[in-house]
Amino acid sequence: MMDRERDEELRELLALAAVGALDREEQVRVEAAIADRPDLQAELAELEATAAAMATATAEEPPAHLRGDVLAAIADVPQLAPRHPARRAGSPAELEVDELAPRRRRRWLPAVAAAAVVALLAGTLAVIVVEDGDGGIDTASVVEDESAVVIPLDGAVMSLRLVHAPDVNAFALLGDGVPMPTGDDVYELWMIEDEQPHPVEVFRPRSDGAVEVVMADMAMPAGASFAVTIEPAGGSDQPTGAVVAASS
Amino acid sequence: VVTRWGDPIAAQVWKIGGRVSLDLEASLAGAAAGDHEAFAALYDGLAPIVFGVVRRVVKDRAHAEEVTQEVFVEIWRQAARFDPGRASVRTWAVMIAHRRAVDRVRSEQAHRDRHVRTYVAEPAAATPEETMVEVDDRRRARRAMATLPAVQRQALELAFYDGLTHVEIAERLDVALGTVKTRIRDGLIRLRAGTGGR
Repeated sequence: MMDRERDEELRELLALAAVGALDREEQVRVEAAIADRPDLQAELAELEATAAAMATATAEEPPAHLRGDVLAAIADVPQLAPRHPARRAGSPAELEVDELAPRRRRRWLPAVAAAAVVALLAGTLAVIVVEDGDGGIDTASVVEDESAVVIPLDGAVMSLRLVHAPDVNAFALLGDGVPMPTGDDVYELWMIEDEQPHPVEVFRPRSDGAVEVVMADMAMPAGASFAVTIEPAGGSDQPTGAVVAASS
Repeated sequence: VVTRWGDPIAAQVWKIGGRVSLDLEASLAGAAAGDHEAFAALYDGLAPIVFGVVRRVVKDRAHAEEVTQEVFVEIWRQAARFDPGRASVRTWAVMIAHRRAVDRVRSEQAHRDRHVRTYVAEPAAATPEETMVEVDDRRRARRAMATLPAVQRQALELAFYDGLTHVEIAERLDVALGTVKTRIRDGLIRLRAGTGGR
């Protein structure tokens, strides 16, 4: 009974999702809710195909110069690996570098990115890279700061704690028993501000399931919320995978 | 006169129109393998629908060009992620385009009073480059929209063409949230019947 009601509710949201009438946070929540429901995924796909027909009704020839602009723009844009790496063509050596190269989200920490690359290339892929080079900020100095506030990020299979210490302008993301994402997938932390998700950090748990990531030089805008999604190796610019934990 | 894709006459028509014959999935597969020429063919096949929907949502032509470019860069990046089991290339591209366009509109509106926006219908006559098939598709889609009950069409248009959320639509129309949900869902289902679900 409850399930049927919930399904009906989800079905209503699917139509809204198909025409983009949900805000970004609702959209990712719906996607997470149907992650293990192929029937509802198929229904969403069908509704999206119908919404696409509405786009057909507005088809309009773009200006001629746009073609050249677009082709020039993609010239040096790297492509993402397929979700199932086996399907991808190309030499294994190329693949590996491409897929392992972690793209750090926070522009303000280039040095740490280098450390992360070294760690990953050294073969410690299954181990989360915990930086200790964040301007002298470590987990303890965030967690033990008097200004620290805990923001729980809860999901079906994991609970993370995002600790924000405004006085030291840093965050720490902590968790235990976090399942290892499959293959080369990673978790990605998003800060949602004005309904826009901004990539914050890409991480994997340690082999013992612990997560400990420090993010320095990071302020928290008023009204921001947080979510964690599963993303392909290297992370994404926009959330593409299921939401596994979110702030309430 | 309806011509088929494999038909040599159709190929000629495309060439006359300055285009190449299309197979979107093949072009996308080529693009996914890093083939720039295949991507160019993909652009040719998708540009009108992508630009059209982006323009409809963001309104401003210069912004629409910018967003369209972003959309194609995204299509290039994500090419290998396309799942033919889930959607057609066209639907996939439209969803990327629509999401980007809506993001643009919403981020702009977060900083601006949105009440001044008005919807101006675009006269969209066929250009010489367009094929019979495209014009036909568009006409069919418009006809399907036109047959919807007015309240359903309005709710769908506010959502898909104007990028409003269901909450905003409810405010705009001064109706309950549940009413908006029902209108959008019923409208889409009816439209699906009218467009053969494509």
